[in-house]
Amino acid sequence: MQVATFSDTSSRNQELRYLTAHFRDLQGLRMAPFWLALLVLTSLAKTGSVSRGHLSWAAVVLITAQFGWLRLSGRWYERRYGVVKEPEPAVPSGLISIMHPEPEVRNPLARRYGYLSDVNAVLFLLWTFTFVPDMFLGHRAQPGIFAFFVAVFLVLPRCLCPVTKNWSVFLRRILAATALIAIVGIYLEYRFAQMDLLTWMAVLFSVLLLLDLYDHWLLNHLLSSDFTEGSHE
Amino acid sequence: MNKDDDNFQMPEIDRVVHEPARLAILTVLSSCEEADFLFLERATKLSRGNLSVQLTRLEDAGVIEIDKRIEHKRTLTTAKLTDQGRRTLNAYWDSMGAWRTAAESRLTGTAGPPKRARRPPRCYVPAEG
Repeated sequence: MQVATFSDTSSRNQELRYLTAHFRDLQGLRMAPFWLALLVLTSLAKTGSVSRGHLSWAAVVLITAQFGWLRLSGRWYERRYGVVKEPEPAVPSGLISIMHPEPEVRNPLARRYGYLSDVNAVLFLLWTFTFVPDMFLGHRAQPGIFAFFVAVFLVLPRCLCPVTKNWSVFLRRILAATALIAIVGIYLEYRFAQMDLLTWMAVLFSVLLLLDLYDHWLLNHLLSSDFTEGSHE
Repeated sequence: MNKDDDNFQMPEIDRVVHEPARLAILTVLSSCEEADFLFLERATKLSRGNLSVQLTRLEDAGVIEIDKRIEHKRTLTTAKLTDQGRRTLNAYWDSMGAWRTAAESRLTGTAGPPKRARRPPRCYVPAEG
């Protein structure tokens, strides 16, 4: 009985640690609307109901709006779920935090960390300017590089980060691993079987949307778990 | 149960840390640099009053530091683990590891003092500085 109690406590504490350490990574609504909008644009391009030129401009506007949305969604998460200041990483790697700039905190240490994340986010969005509008115009788009970048910086870290015994946390890793395999597989299909570029992009955006929506659900799920059963004070 | 088992002195458990609500708060704070009141409230599922009481007790024990400041016209209350708090939490996990080993020994019938305190993985909280 005692051992079971210890294991139970340990498991709950692991979940709490995971929730706190990945608080920003689990804020999926920062990027989910962006992927959804790109998915809609890609679908419209596929059906041919809207001219490619218009879609290209829509993509430019969308990417520009995403700069503001990152800031707004950060504030929304801050007000709804609170603020967690993470320890500054020893090596300033962007990885999964690339699209999640930290909310502004008036603290020199926090500002330095947020600055690094903001730079990563801005660089990523600037880079999408060079690819996504071109994709709708049918110019020399490079979906392989785009997919590689997205997979390495947004999907791979989800596979590598430590997991707990919680099935929903473990499922996050499974989903990310599946997404990684799917991205590689569908790219090979596009590259060698001449799959349509827009179909390939639609699949990519769908996968990213799914991952981010799951992250947001997982954040709420972990926050709804009761970690303090038996607290009597 | 044998003689060795009877003579074995179990390590003391720090009662400040051992209470579930306070342990949950300290677990959160050990995984970040600092967290605000709202996040602690949501993560631990404690009521505002209870959380406030527990934070005060932890602050009185010197385990955490509480900071209040105004940001965006709101009072932001943040808490962070002190160096003493990190040491206390590490000592607590060591004690719990010893208890766990002893409990497992009793279950398997190999009673006796634990050879080595076992600690759950990734519980260690590195002390700063």
